[in-house]
Amino acid sequence: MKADRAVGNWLILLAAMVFGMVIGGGHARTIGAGFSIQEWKPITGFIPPMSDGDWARLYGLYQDTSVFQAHPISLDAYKALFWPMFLDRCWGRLIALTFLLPFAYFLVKGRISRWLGVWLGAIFLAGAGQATMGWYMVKTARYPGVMSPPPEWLAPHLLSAMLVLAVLLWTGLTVRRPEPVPVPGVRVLRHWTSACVLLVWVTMGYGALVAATNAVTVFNTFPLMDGGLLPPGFLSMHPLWVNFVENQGTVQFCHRVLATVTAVTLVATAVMGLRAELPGWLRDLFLLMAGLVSLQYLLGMTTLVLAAPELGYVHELNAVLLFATAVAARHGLRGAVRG
Amino acid sequence: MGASWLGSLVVAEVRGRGLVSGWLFGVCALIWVMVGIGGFTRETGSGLSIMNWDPIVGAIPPLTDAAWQHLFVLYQGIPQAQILHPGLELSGFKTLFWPEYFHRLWGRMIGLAFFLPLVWFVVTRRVGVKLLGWLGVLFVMGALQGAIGWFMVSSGFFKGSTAVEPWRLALHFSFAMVLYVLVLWTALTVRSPEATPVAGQFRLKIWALAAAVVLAVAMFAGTFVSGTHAIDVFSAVNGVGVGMPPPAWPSAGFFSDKATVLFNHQVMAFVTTGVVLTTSVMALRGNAPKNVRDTGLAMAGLVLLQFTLGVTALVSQLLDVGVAHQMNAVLLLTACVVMVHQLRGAAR
Repeated sequence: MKADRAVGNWLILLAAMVFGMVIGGGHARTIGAGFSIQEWKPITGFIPPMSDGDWARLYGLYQDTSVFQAHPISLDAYKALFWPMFLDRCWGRLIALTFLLPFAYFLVKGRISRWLGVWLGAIFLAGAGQATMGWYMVKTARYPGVMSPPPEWLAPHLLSAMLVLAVLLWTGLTVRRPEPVPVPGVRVLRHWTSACVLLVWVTMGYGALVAATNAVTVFNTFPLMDGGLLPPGFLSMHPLWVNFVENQGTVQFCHRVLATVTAVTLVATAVMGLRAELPGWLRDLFLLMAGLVSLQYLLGMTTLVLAAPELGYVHELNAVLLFATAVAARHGLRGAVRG
Repeated sequence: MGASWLGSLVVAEVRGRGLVSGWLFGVCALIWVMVGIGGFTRETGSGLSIMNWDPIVGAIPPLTDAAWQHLFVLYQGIPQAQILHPGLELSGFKTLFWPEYFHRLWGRMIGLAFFLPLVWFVVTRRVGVKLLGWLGVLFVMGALQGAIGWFMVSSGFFKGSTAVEPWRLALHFSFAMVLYVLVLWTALTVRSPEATPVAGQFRLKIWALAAAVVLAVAMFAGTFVSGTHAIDVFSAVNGVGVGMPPPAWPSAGFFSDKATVLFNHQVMAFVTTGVVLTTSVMALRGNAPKNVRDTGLAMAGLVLLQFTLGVTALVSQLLDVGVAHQMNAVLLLTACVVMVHQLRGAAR
């Protein structure tokens, strides 16, 4: 494969746009706007409501949701929930366009090989699947008692978005520099960095469960939970596995434990990276990883103690940056060989 | 670059540098443990349980019931006992007694661990006369630290008082840190007396020095948090102690109002974290020698741990975490001093 900076940069831009999607989606969730648009028109949905009739129809659809029936709101209040969600969906369409138009151009110019073309096509389908999944999540609003996007939908939605982001970033970096830079003596570091990527990803999944179950409102103490290591009612739900998805105390506990394991692993890995003889750009990635993970842990603690969902949103965004940094560091170590 | 005053002394007068520096590092470790015991004594409120100061004979604990009764009766006469522990039994008194006793005993041990090997080093001519003079100064400072400790404890017996005066606690801790840094610097210089010239790291040296200084100020502010039990006022709901200046800041008792004292420490903690992290990043990204880079890593790790421990101590109100925070502060100070020492040969 030939190095192609333009193609690589385009894919990295798409990865950055996925981060933008998390900014929009996380915001919509934080203000409770996730259920505000109860229809999905993948193509024509970019046209905003223009007439009173349009608004009446959308408002009417929203009135079918359980959350509206429990807490009715005025049309004006509805509009305030509508716009953030609308913008996030438009951003998704913009990502699709930013994918398709340059893709066609690069194909015509012969700058994308056959296998790369197939691979990118698969990524596009994954993006479309992500949107479809988002819609089915939004549709759960019509089930009785579902007041916000349910945990079993929200966590997979975030995790699959992170996979798309990781694949875009990895592919973009590879297209920019197809031949791995040989880095001697850091084979072990490469394994550790792989573990970092995986751990951040899993911890983010539990973070999504904390958000979805609103678990930030309970046990606002650190490091103990209600004076003990385990929360009261740790496994009180039946069947057992439900506790790990829906029980606020259990979900928060799991996120705390995973976060601590992840933080320790990332710090250890960063220290190894900073002590190894690495090229400057790769060493800086480990430095960034150390900084972001420390910030992430402190943000998490602060969110919890202050019971502040807005800070949880910042915590979520920083997690994406941390994840991307870990992926980039792992990519930089592709050429790790025995010393 | 040649050696400093202390460095030249070491070159001229020390034989067996590994042994002598190892001994001094050991003394540093003993002082570090002393900080932990002192913090624990403070935490358990047992600092006032022994009403007299017998530097030598005090090493013997009460051995008979009569001896215990004697001490217990003395304690029952002080205001803290009457205000905080009206119905105290002898067994309760014993749990107050032991931490303070152990703190004092450890101090005597440090004195011995300093004095006896020193005599031996002089007799075996491993240490010369001029350096002996300097080490003698350190020993006298150690004795003075014991006296300051008693000066602090005696303020807790004042009428209506249930704890020692915060400024005396600050003095006791700060003097301990001065002594600690001097012993540490001496140990480092004995280990490597020549200031190795390091090219292009002069700015880093200034930053490391600044880190040590702001950390010292933050630690000084921290002694008042401990002395006034300022973490009591923390309330996330009411926004007290969350890092914003209290309404009456700074006019409401700069060293006595709890919310003010807490805020002062937090501001210094933020400044220190920023300066230490900047120093670490400069060390890691610049072409600093490997040993300096490792010290930079240690500084970064310790300062982040320190910040996390501080926040945790505050929000959990767990005093054990506060003791860990205090001990970790000494480790962080050590790392800063080590970096300054490693870079002392760095010139413009």
